[in-house]
Amino acid sequence: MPRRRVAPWGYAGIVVVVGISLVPTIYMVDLSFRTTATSFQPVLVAAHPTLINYFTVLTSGHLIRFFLNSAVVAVSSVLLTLVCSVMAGFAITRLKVVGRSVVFYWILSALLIPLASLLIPLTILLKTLHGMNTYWGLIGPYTALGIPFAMLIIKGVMDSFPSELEEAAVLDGASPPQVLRQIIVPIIWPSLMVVAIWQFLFSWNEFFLALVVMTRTSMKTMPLLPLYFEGSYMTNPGEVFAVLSIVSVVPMVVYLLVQRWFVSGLSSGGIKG
Amino acid sequence: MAFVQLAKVWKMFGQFIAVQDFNLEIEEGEFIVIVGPSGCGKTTILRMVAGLEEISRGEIYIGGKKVNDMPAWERDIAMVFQNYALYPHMNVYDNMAFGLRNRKVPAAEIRRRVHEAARLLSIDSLLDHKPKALSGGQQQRVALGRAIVREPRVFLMDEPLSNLDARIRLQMRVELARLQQRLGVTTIYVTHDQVEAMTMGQRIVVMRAGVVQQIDTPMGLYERPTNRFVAGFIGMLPMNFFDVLLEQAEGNLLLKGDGFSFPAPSSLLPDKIKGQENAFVLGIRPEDIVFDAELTQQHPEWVCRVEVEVVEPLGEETLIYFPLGAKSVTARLTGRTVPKPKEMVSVVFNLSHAHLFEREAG
Ligand SMILES: Nc1ncnc2c1ncn2[C@@H]1O[C@H](COP(=O)(O)OP(=O)(O)OP(=O)(O)O)[C@@H](O)[C@H]1O
Ligand SMILES: [Mg+2]
Repeated sequence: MPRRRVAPWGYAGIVVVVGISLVPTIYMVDLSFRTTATSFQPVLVAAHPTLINYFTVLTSGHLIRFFLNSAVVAVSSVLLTLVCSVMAGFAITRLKVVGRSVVFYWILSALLIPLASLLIPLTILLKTLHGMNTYWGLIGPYTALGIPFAMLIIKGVMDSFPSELEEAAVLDGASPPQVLRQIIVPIIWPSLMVVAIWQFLFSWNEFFLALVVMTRTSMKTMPLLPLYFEGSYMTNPGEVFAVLSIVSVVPMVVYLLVQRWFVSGLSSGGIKG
Repeated sequence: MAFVQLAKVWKMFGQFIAVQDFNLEIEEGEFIVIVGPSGCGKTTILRMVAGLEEISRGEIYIGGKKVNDMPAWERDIAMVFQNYALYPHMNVYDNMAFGLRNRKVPAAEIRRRVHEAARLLSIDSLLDHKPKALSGGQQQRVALGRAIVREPRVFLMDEPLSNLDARIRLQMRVELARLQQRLGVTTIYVTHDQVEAMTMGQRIVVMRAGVVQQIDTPMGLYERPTNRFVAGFIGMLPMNFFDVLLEQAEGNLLLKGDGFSFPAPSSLLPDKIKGQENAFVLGIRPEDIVFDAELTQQHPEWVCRVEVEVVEPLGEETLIYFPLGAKSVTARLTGRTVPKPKEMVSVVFNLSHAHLFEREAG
C-alpha cells in the first residue's frame, strides 16, 4: 500500500485521540508504581515512583503459575480455533457438502449468545464431564466460542479467493489436504493472524468463566490474579495495578510480534484480469 | 482410438444447458482450437476435460482410458488459466516446480526441467521474482512454463493471450504455436478470437450456445462454412449476407435479391436445396467482391454497377462500402486502384466462392 501523506492537522487529531485513549493505560501503569500513601493523590503521574508493588507480586508465588496456566489455555485455544475454523471454512466454501450453508449459519448464530448466559449451563456441563479445574474446561468453551467469529473472517477471505489458484494446484497434482496446506493457508495467513490475535486476547483476558471453572488456586489464570491482591478494603491498589500491568503486557507483545502480517500485502498479485 | 475423446458430452448447470452433445476426437500431438462467442461453453469443456467440473452426461477418454471418475490431480493434465492463477506466495521457480514436487520428481531433475523451460521462454532471469513483480506477458510465460515442465499428456489453454496487448499477443501466438510443435503435446486451446483460431489450430471447433456448429480445418471453415453463424464468425471481415429468392426463369435458376439478380452457378446449390424451399441467404465475403477484368469477362452476369459510398485505403488493400438495395455492402479490393467516394464502379461478385444458407439457420 502506498504511504499517504497525513496533513499536520491530521497528525494533531491522531495525537489527541491516541492521548485520550491512553489515559487509562497510563493511569494503570502509574498506579502500579505508587505506594499506599500516594495511591489516592488526584494526579495522573504521581511523584516518587516505587517498584515495591512489582516486587510483592513477583515474589508472591502465584504469578508464574497463573501465567503458565493462562499461556497453556490461550495458546491451545488459538491453535484449536485456527485448525477447526480453517478446515470448516474449507469444507463450507469448497466441498460440495449438503447443507453447508445451514451449518455455517448455525455456527454463526452462536455469536448472538452472550457468554454470561452460558455460564450456568456450561458449568453444569463441565461438572458432569469432570471438566472443572482442568485446562480443557477452559480451552473447550473458549474455542467453541471463538470459532463463530473465526469462521466469519475465514469464510470471507476464502470466498474472495480466486478458485483458479486451487484448481491450478489440483491440476499440479495436489490433493485437497495439500491444497489447503500449501496454497490456501499461506495465502490467507494475514487473516489467520487476525483470528489468532482476536482469539488470544479473548482467551487471555476472559474472567468470568475462568472464575467459575478454576476453583483450585494452582489452575487459575492471569485475570484471576488481581483478586489475590485486593486486600479486604482495597488497602493497596498499587499491587492490583501492578498485576494488571503485567497481565496486559502479554497481549501487547503478542500483537507486536504478529502485526507485520497485517500489513504484508501477501495475498495481492499473481492474479491478473 | 483417438488420444483424447469426448463422446456425447453434456453439461447442465441446474436447468441451464452449458454444453450439449459434444463429440470430438483428438489425435495425439494435435492442436485443437475451440472458438465461439462469450458464454458458449468453451471454458466448461476444458474444465470437464481437466476434471474440475463434473460431466453431466457422456464420456471423456484420455489415452484410451475413461476419466469421468478420475480425480483431477491424477489426470496428468496441465492447464493455463485465463488469469494465469500463479501462486502469489511462491517465486517463479517454485511456481514451476510445484507440480513436479507433488509428483515426487527428484530435485535434480526438477532443477533441470525448470531451468530448461525458463530458458525456452526467456524467463530465466526472473526465477527469484514473485508473480506480482512481473508484467502481464511475463506472468503469462510463467503460467506456460508451469505447464511445460510437467510434461503432461494434455495441455489445456483457456484464452491465455487475452490479457496481453496486441503486439505481445501476436508474438506469443507464434511462440506458442512453435512451442507446441516442438513439444508435440496434445493441446486444446480456447479462444474467442477467430484470428487466433485460424492461425494456430490444426482443427477448429466452432461453438455457439453450447452446441458445436462445425469442426474443420481453418481453410475448411473458410471455404465450406456449414451455416451462416460459422460463415459470419470466421474471416477477418464480416461476411455480406443478402436475403435472396431462388427463382426459375428461362430454364435458369436465378438468385433474386434486393437490387440484384444473378444466375446461380450450380456449385452454389448443395443437394439439400433442390427441394421446395426457395428463400435463402446468400453469403459472400468482402474479398470475393472484386475488380477483376478476367472474371468480368468470364462471368459478365456477375457484374454490378454500384456507387461507392465510403473508401478505406489500407495500403496493400482497400475496403469500399456501397449500398445495394437497402443493404450496405463491404468489398475488399487488392491492388492499388483506389476508387473515390461517389464514383460509379463495376464490381464482380465471385459467386463461385459464395455460399447459400437456409433462412432460419441463424
Ligand atoms: N458454475 C456455473 N453455474 C451456473 N452456470 C454456469 C457455471 N459456469 C458456467 N456457467 C454458464 O455456462 C455457460 C458457459 O460458460 P463458459 O464459462 O464455459 O463460457 P465461455 O465460452 O468460456 O465464455 P467466455 O468466452 O466468456 O469465457 C455460461 O452461460 C455460464 O453462465
Ligand atoms: Mg471462458
